[in-house]
Amino acid sequence: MKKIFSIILSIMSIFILAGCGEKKTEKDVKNVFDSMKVIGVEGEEKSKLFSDSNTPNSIKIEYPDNVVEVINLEESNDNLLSKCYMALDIQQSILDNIYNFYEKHNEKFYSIMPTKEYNEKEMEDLYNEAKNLESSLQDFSIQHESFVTSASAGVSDVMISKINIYSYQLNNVIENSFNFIYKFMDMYENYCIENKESTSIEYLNFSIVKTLVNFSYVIYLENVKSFNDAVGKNGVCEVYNIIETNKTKYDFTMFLESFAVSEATINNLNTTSTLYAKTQKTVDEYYYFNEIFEQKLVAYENTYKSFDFYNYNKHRMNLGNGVTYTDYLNTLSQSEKASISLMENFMYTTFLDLYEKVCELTV
Amino acid sequence: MKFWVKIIVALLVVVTIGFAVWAFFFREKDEVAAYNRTADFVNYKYSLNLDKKLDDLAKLDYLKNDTSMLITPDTQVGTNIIKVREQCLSPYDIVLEQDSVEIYRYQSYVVLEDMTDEIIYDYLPYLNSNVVNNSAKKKVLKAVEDYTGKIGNLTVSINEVVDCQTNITNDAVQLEFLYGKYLNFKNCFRNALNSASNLIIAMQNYANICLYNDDIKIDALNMSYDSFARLLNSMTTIDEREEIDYAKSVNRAYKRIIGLQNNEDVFNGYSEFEVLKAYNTLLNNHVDTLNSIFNCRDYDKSEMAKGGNMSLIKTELRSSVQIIFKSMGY
Repeated sequence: MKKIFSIILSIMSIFILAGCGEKKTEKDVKNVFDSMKVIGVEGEEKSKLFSDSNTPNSIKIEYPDNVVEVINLEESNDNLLSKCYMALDIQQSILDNIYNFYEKHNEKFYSIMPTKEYNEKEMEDLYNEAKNLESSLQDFSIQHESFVTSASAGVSDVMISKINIYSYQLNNVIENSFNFIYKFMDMYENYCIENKESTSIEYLNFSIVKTLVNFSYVIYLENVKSFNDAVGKNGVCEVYNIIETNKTKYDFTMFLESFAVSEATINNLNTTSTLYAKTQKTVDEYYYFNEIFEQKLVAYENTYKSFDFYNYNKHRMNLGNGVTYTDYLNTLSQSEKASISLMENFMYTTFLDLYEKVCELTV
Repeated sequence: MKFWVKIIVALLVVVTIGFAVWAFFFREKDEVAAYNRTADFVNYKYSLNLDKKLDDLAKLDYLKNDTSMLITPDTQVGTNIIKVREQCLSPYDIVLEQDSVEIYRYQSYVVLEDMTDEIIYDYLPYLNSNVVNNSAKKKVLKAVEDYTGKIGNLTVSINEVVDCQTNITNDAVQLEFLYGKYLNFKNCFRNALNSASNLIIAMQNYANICLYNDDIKIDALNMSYDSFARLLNSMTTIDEREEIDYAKSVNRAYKRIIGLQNNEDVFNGYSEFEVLKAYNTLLNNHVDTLNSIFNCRDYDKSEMAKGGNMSLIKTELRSSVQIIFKSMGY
């Protein structure tokens, strides 16, 4: 009996010790972030590794020390390769928007949080997401080195193969970035914003930038993530393989531009003229559409996760190996078609309704 | 320990472990039960090809597979059959006119059934949620089970009508028999619509589709779906002799949905926000009042739109009630 008791006590003490880890603070999160060697993501050291959209047949690589290398693809006559780079450009834009939020809000976050009584579990979760991001960036930087080396060599087949792995790794960075930024946004909203009334300009600024992150998330799911599951050598390059034939779908990528509340909006909200009422009405409508968007985003995300989105995308973009989109739809059950209907309504109604309101308030 | 006791203990251990394995790996998660059942039902209903059956029945306006033996209004029973067919199967609005002036209009059962299908189809993916609300889930499961049964009855009644109609002649007695089959078909269809409305209300309650500021829980289209379902529920619950009076309200809700889908202004002078606020005031905390006002006769609804006939309604809710009916065009 004594032996059994002592074993149980030992096991319990191990659990207790494991559970009693050091409490994580905002300083720990900041340290993880500062220590990350972020390539193509963080402020001063930004380097854009992808093609210039004005010259799609060339690859322009800018290194942190301002060295620029241009590889002309016209000589290799490889359209696919340049399109692959343009797909990477979309991934870069998505990351830019995520870190746009972080850059705008991290200073206030780190200065205010020490004065707040926050939920320890929330901070620990944020720290863990930062660590996950750090780990994915480490893996990514290895692929980056390999990619840059192959790009310098200029052999198309090797470059395409490297791009797929590189892009897949970049998607991991994007996923972990979203996980981090959503936790960061929630904590910021809970602890760093005093006035959440629709009349608050600070809250409006915060909401607009958050909306941009949401747009980027949806565009990532629609256009990029599903091709992680691609079977075959082209992988994420299939994203850009269809641009020529299916422009309507990829028009959504134009929503990755940055938003900021316009000076005109801010001025109107600070006046007592008739413009105030009109602008405030637009702000109220924005919040209404934003709320609907965020609620329906949950349903969209749940549906997306339980649906074979890759196959749906392939067939919608005529990459279905001879099976037309109509034939593909006929193989689906009614409940599966209902899922498609929800996702399309979300993109073509809810998303666009909100975008229209955002445009009315921003530059 | 006796041998048989050891056997029982061993069996109990095996059963417990087996149950634990089942619960962990195979038991359907609560979060998806409502979605799975409803998805199964939607797929099952589609497989019955009910739309085609109803469409074929609508085109079958003659007897004994002979297109020259049309059902005509020459006799009372012929008139009765045509009237039931119109009420159930007409693809167009049914309009009552007096001296060439429209008195009112309403939709046939088949048009209303199409709308319920559309709403259930739209709501279905929203049930695929991570949030478990047990009481709401049970209502959905019960509504699905009920609707499945009613659809089965409807399918059987259609087959009976077709079977009868393709085998009888223009004989008065046989036509009366056919009329009886049509009345049964109408009754089954009415019950199916009632079940559909219950399912829609249960799904909307479970899915908790939109929240805004704790004041507004559903947006304009979902509000229209909700009011359509509740009014349809009233129409198919009330005594059949009074049904047309309630069909007029359903018509207003139906037209609003169509208008919203076509981006028309459907709130008769009110802003969308005003109407949503009024509707959600009742839906969120006074759903009994919402149901009771929808259960009123058409004339009473008109009076409420003018601010009258509200002695049984709480004072703080009267302006919301007035907005709801005025915005519907009363």
